[in-house]
Amino acid sequence: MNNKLRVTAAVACLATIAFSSSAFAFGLRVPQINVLGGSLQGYLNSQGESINVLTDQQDAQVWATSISNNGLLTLKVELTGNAPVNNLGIYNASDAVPALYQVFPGAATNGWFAVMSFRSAPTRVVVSLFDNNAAFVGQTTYLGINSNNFGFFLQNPSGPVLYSQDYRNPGGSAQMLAYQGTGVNSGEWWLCWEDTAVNGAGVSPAHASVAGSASDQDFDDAVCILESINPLPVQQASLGTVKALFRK
Amino acid sequence: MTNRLKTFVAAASLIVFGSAAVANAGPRVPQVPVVGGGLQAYFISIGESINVNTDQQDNQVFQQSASGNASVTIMFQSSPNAPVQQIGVYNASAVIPPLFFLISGSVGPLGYSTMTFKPGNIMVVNRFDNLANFLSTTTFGGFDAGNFGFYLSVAAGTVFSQDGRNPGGLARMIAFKGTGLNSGEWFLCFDEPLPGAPGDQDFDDCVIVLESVNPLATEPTTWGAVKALYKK
Repeated sequence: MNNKLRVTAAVACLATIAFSSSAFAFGLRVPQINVLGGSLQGYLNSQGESINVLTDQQDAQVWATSISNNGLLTLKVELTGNAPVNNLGIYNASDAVPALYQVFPGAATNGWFAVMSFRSAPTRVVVSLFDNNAAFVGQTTYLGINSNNFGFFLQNPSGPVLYSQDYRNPGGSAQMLAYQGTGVNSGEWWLCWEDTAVNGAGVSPAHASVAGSASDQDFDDAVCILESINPLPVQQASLGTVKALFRK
Repeated sequence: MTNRLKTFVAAASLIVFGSAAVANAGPRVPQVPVVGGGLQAYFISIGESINVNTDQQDNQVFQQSASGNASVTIMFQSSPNAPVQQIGVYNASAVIPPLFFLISGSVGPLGYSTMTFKPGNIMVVNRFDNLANFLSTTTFGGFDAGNFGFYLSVAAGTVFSQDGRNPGGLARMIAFKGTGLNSGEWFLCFDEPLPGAPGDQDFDDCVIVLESVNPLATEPTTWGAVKALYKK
């Protein structure tokens, strides 16, 4: 990468990039994102949650594993025609161009779950996948995951990869909203995805030409529960930090 | 069962049983003395801010969350019996509960099991070793995901998360809430039985982390409720 491009990329990133720090503290997302339609609210209500989808969004975009080094991710519901082709996974949140580690393939449906086991020597995550009957489907090992700073992605053939970190998405839009569980779900996180780019401004021509790509912003296209993993606060990066990403 | 025996068992049960309520409990009262510094040292070593003598929660029974899944991970074992420890769950409201085996102590720290709660009182357990290699699966029937306890078995006997089921009504498992990055998780710390005697009260014989399951408050039951159990 030449110097001019590096500087341009660094400045662009500086405007929007977020990275994690070590403290465990986060608050509400500011501003809260508009959630259209009532289906997400209806679904959470049906689960006995007292979440308000319009006002309880947490500013949680990157994550770290807990002391157990195991994270449990359950696919609760997919209210989208893309369900059969939506892949979900994790990536290293601090990488400029992160590798994608798939957790749920498109074939996964409501009730499938996965255990992400973060291990060292070598640094890796072992993804164990189960179907809705808790039958063991298979296991995949990915090397190089940073268990202390990772994000989630959703990918389908109809559009660009969408990330839990807003700044990576077209137009810097939020594509995943996070809510803290309440009552018997305390300590758990609801991850609620919009599977089409909310802001089409940054969509590549190839994806923009896909018919029916307009986002409905309902954030119910893939709803997961995440357990044993907690978010890290989102902070503005320094210019030096951003530049350092591109020196790697 | 004769009436006299029914009365005896009911009376004994009244002393020791707790039934589940809906809300999370507060601190255990009184706090249980934790002998030796092993458990506190463990928590310090993993960056937890738990004080083992003052942060015990009054959680003896548990229920599933909305995910329908939960995991149990062995974190620490300070016992020569570690390889033969057996950890599992049981129906907290049963008089003589069957034991549903979750995980063997032989897998060691970071070995884990998942519990999947299905309609019809079905629970599917999947077990993994410390390297996350899949070991085995078992499907259990008759499990109450809305009200269950944990047990630890070794050759000398079995101890339960419900104090009332243990000899002398003694606490043999104490629960702590995770803090910081472990928020939302529960540390369950067992004191295993010794041959012919209670445990040594160090509560570091087997420490597990419980995720995706939340505790129920323990409340003294009524005489009528206990008698009702025997009328079924």
